[in-house]
Amino acid sequence: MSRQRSLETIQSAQFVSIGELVRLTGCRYSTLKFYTEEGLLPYEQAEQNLTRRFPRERAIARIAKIQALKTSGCRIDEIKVRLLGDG
Amino acid sequence: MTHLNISQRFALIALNGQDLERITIAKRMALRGIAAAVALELQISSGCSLKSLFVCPPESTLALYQQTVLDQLAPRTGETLISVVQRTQKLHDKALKVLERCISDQLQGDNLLDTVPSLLGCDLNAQDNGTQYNEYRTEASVYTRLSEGLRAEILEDDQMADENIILFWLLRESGCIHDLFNEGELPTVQVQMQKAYRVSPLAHQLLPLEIHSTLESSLKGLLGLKQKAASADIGIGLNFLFPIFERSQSIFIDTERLYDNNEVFLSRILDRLAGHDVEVLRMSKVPLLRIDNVLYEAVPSAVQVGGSGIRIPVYGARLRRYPLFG
Repeated sequence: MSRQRSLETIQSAQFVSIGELVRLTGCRYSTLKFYTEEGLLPYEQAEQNLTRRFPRERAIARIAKIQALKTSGCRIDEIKVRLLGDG
Repeated sequence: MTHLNISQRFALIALNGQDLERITIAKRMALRGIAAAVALELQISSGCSLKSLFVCPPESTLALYQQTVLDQLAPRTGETLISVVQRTQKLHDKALKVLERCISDQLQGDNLLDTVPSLLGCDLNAQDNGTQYNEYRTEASVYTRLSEGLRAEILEDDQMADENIILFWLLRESGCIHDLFNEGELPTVQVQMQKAYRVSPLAHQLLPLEIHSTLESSLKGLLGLKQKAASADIGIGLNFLFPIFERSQSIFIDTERLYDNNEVFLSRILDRLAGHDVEVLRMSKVPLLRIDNVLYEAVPSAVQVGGSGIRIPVYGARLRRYPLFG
């Protein structure tokens, strides 16, 4: 029997799934998937077909940074250069 | 966002956009789904299977709406959970109305659900004949977290949680699957469910179970098809030319005169949309707006009103559904 993790558990977890990241940040799934595919969000994946695990704190901080840059008028390619340049 | 149980999560997704006053086919299916969700959440949380005997929890541990569902379903001694869930199909409108009031009161009390005038009420014709339309609207950020979180977990997770299997089944039985997943995602959803069916004992028992009425599903499907035709690229065009085809998808907002200035035009539209959750996504001659979680383009337009040979042009904007997915 597999139970969903509660919000309290997710809020203190080291790694979260993309669904849990949606629940934590309120961002759309398609948006986070796009950021992941663009290499903007850090994640770990044991094997190609297994679920991606996102380091919670780093991923949330990165999403906040992307959103701040978007609000300031940056395009995704510009955001990519800035963030990936930062390392 | 506080912890929500399965029935509350399902209610917030399924009641969003439903007519407040009337029991429509879509709302009837959603309310039966909520009743089934209550029966399931009360037993599954204690680890019971669908074939276990249904055990009524103590009244003191139940929310009012959960107690209401149990009162309506009246589980008999020795009855299995599967049989109680199947009985939700036979709940009549009077019982569903009582359930709707209880759950909507509770969700509104928690500021998760609201009642707003339907967008259709902004239409020139609706305003002229004084018709009032109201509908439920789930708080926007809550709706996004719930619907997008569920989409992500169903489409991505290699081992689906029991709550998501139940929510998927409820969405399927209430005909809401197409509200969450687009055509391109449905094959992935099917593969994920087949996988869950093979590995999860709950999915193995629950997924073959049906509580929907074939007639109601067909009718909802037919109405959905009409709406879909009006929302698709060609449909939008058709509906734009012939709004009667699908009134809820083509709303004419009267701005009293034709404005050259885009900002004034937009501000007149926003005045008319007071009471709705509106976000301007694109500021142009044809502004793009997100109204109550749905995208619309406000196209400057004019209609002719009057009769007996005297036709008066009325200027305004026609709201055209903006296709989110290709």
